[in-house]
Amino acid sequence: MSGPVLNIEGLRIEIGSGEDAKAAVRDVSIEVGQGEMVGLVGESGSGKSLTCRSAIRLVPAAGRVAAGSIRFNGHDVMAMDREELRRMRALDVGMVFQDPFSSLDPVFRVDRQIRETLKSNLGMGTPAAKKETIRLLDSVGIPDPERWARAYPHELSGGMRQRVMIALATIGEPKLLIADEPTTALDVTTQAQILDLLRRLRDERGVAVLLVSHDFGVIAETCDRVVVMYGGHVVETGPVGETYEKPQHPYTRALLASVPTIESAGTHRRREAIPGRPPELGEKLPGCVFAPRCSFEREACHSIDMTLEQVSAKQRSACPFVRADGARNDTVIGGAP
Amino acid sequence: MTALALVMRRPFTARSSLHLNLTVKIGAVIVGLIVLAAFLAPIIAPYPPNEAKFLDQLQAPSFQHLMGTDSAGRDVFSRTLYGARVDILVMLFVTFVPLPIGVLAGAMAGYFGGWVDLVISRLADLMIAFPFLVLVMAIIAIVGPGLKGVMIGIPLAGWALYARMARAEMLVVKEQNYMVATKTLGYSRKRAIFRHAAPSILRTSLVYSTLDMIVNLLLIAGLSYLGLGMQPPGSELGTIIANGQVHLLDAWWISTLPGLVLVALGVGLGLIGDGLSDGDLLGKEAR
Repeated sequence: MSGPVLNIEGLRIEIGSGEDAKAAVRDVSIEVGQGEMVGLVGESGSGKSLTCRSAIRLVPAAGRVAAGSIRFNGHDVMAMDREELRRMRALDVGMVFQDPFSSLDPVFRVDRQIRETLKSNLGMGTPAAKKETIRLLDSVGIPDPERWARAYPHELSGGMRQRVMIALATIGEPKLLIADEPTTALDVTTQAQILDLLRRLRDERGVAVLLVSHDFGVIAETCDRVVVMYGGHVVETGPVGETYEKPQHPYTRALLASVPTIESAGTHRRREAIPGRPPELGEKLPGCVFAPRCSFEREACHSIDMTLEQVSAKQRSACPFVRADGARNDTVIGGAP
Repeated sequence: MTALALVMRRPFTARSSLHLNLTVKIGAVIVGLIVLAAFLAPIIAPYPPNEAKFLDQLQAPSFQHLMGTDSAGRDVFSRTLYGARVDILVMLFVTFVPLPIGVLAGAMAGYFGGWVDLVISRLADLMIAFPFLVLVMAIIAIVGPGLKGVMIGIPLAGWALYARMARAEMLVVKEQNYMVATKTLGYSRKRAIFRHAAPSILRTSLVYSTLDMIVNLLLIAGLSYLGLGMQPPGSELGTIIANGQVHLLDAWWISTLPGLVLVALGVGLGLIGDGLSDGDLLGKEAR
């Protein structure tokens, strides 16, 4: 197989039903190639978590996928029956959550939950599963795996729990790992270790990773490609390097401008905050969703349809205006009158 | 008790031995003594429970007859021992038969939602809304007086509260990340419910069951007292108490002493439940 591992096209997720349905994700398309690490970045409520969960049909009960196609290795995820879906989740896709403190069952020792997963998903026998458990824990960098295997989740640190969760998620050699803010609850040093681990999984085993984060820094450090979401739309996508250096969409620029840099340490200059507030769920704005907060806003912004257009060799942006301006990322963001 | 304790151990106490607080210990001693005496009734009872000695009618408590004798000259102590045995057995039956049924029904209602939830919850509502005693008495009216009616009637209504509690717990547990993880790890629904949700759900139901046991104990004795439960000449605490009622003024011991045993058993169970629920098990820092 050489096609993309995950291909989401025209995804629309609505919260609520019937008349009250509010679109939380609109016309989102994302592709994750084999062994590729894709970052999905956006602020709270931008629809990034919903989008990544839809990949394994784990949209919360209140929401539903209203339109679009989700294909995993070419198979239509929305058309899978329960058993196919279960098999896909068990073997082909792993998922790691934001909160490592609650994602392991508190009443089981670590080894028991891993063993159980090995037995039920791979049909391993007890002796083989025991060995494999230790190997798995070792592979995710748990020191002294024999000893820590006997621990209850509450006895582990956040980082270790996240490692155990990654070990669980990688059972069955998945082709795709979805990591929904895997480092948000961790401190910075642990965060770096977990990101390292994810990258190593990709490098050594060719696991594609869809990394969701609100922190551009995390994604810039780790991923090959980035997808920026705002208000349920994808506003920009491109290789991490180019996007970081030359953000095309005004939102991406504003987002990057709001990240503190090492040079700004100790100075009293405030970082540029994006004025205004993100759109509320279901709020229908004509044209560009970012227009009310955008420093380049103009009349025409309210009538565009936010489709991604090729703006450079590898970058695509949903803003058709800013580049015509000649306004590049060296333009001071937020400095407009 | 140990099985119960094992299920209910919190992770933080799991490695150390289970510390039972004083309340639980006192309750356990009371209940233990009564249960032990009741089940050793054939060995320690000084007289057969139904042996009537018409010369020894209405004798006050003495070393011959620890709780005196009733109007038929039967030894009240022996009858109380045999009676308590019946009460305890029926109590356990009518509490722990509906418990797993209710928990399972409630867990399914909470986990699946939708029409499964609708059917189970409305059925439970119906059972809870229906006057409990009337329902049990109606069933006894159908199957005839005796413990059979009690043993059908109480579980028929009793599962509903367990179902409601289990459903509520499941709604909470279901949203926990480790339950979401059972989906992302591709566990079967059976595994998710029975292995991963059940321990958390059972906890409340088991604590509540100690309360339920007391209610059921009094209900069994009450129904027998009304003549709907155990039929004479069988001995059971409620019937013994009812039997002695006419002699309450001239032979107080016939009703009072078995009544005290019933109270002690109830208090003992209450202490256990109380200690379990606010001490080690629900995570409140009472130790």
